[in-house]
Parts: sequence; structure tokens; C-alpha cells
Amino acid sequence: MDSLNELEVLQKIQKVAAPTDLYHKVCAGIKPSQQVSSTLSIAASIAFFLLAATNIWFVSQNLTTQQEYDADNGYYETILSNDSNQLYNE
Amino acid sequence: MLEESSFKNIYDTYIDMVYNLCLNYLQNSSDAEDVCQNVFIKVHQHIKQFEGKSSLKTWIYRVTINQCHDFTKAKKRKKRFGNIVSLFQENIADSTLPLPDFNHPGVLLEDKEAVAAIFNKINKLPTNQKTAIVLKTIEGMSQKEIAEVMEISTKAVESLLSRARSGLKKMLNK
Repeated sequence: MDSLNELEVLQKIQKVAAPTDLYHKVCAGIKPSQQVSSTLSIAASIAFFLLAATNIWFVSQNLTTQQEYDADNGYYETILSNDSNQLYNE
Repeated sequence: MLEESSFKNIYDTYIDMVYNLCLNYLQNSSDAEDVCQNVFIKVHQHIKQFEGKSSLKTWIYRVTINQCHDFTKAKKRKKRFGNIVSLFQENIADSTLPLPDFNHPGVLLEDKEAVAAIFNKINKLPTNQKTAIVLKTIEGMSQKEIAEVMEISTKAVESLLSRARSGLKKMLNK
């Protein structure tokens, strides 16, 4: 293999000790990411639970949404209506 | 997740090895500290994926080299972006990123200029050739060990080293 004399100077590089405070920096780098991921998973669980609960309540109340034209104000209005009441009125 | 005492043991055993490899790869103590931090965060996160096919030392060497590559790539990207921005703004010369400054605490003062010059050439080599030459010349690893770290054959290591040396020779003769 080719030898290269200029590389010999690299063999004189000495080993040095790592800074002593590096371990604390490493630990600080590990903990926030774990905290963020656990906070995110809790937030996602709460959001999912609320969505599921709202959905169940809507179904149990026979509620649907419908749009009705509000002639006075000139726009469509989304209103919650109850299917059973609507049938009764009709 | 890894227990804190086991992690501290791994950290204590390998921190100097990782720090010195980062220094030799990046030639800047501040960059080496940043990459060391990333290496041990990765080790903490991925130790369960370590299958024991190679030794823990080899695996940590591999993680360190990958992190050094990622860091170098990110730094080059930032530098390129700085250059593009400076094309559109004339008075931005002071705010662009400085060239990577040579700051290697393991280099003796009398060798500093010669070492900086040779590192300048090594940094221009393709990534694989640079890795092989750093592991062989500075870390003093055998071709078999380099092959394990780089996950290639010993023949391929030999070829990389040969190409790296002839590349350096060409650059030095210019």
C-alpha cells in the first residue's frame, strides 16, 4: 500500500479527556424529549376521549346537524336538531 | 428504556473514545461536544435495537461516525444557505457563517499548522475515504476493525485507504 509521510504528523495527536460537564448535558438532552413525548401522548388521549364522548352523546340524543336558510340575516345557519322531534312535528 | 446506572456505565466507558473520534473527525472541540451529546442520546434511545452482532464498542463507533456525517452535512447545508443569502445581500459579509475553525486540543502547538493543513485535505476526500483514513491513521484501528465499523469487507477497506492516500498525494502535489 502507498505510504504518505505527511500523514505521520497525525499519529502525534494526543488523546484528551472529554469535558466533565458533558454527562449533565447528555441527561438534559434525554429528559426533555421523554417529557415532550409523554405530554403529547396524554394530550392525544384526552382529545380522543372527548371526541368519543361527544360522538356517543350525539348518537344517544338522536341529534343531527342541518343547515337552514336564515332569510332575515341572509345566510345559512347550522342548527342542531333532534330526529324524533322532527318526525313528531311533521 | 435503559436504567440510569447502566447508561452511566456505558457513558463512563466510552465517552473519551467518542469524544476523541469526534475531535478527529470534526477538528473542533465545540462541535465534538455537540456530536458527543447526540451520540449518547442515540445510544440511550436505541440500545434495545442493538442486537449484539458486533461488540458494543463497534456499534458505538458506528453511531458516532453516522452522527459526525449528519453534523457535517447539516453544517455544509447551513454554509451553502449562508452563501446564497450573501449573494442577495451585499452587506451581509460579517453575518455569514465563518469557515470551520481548527480547534483540536489534542494537537501540539508546534504541529498545529501541519495538522490543520493535512486535515484540510482529508476533509476534501469522499466521506468513506475520510472515515477509513481517520480510523486507520489517527485511531490506529486494524483493517478488520474498520471493516466491522463501516460494515464493509476488508478488501473494500484496503481499496478505500489506497484511494484516499492517492487522492491526498494528488492534493499535496498541487
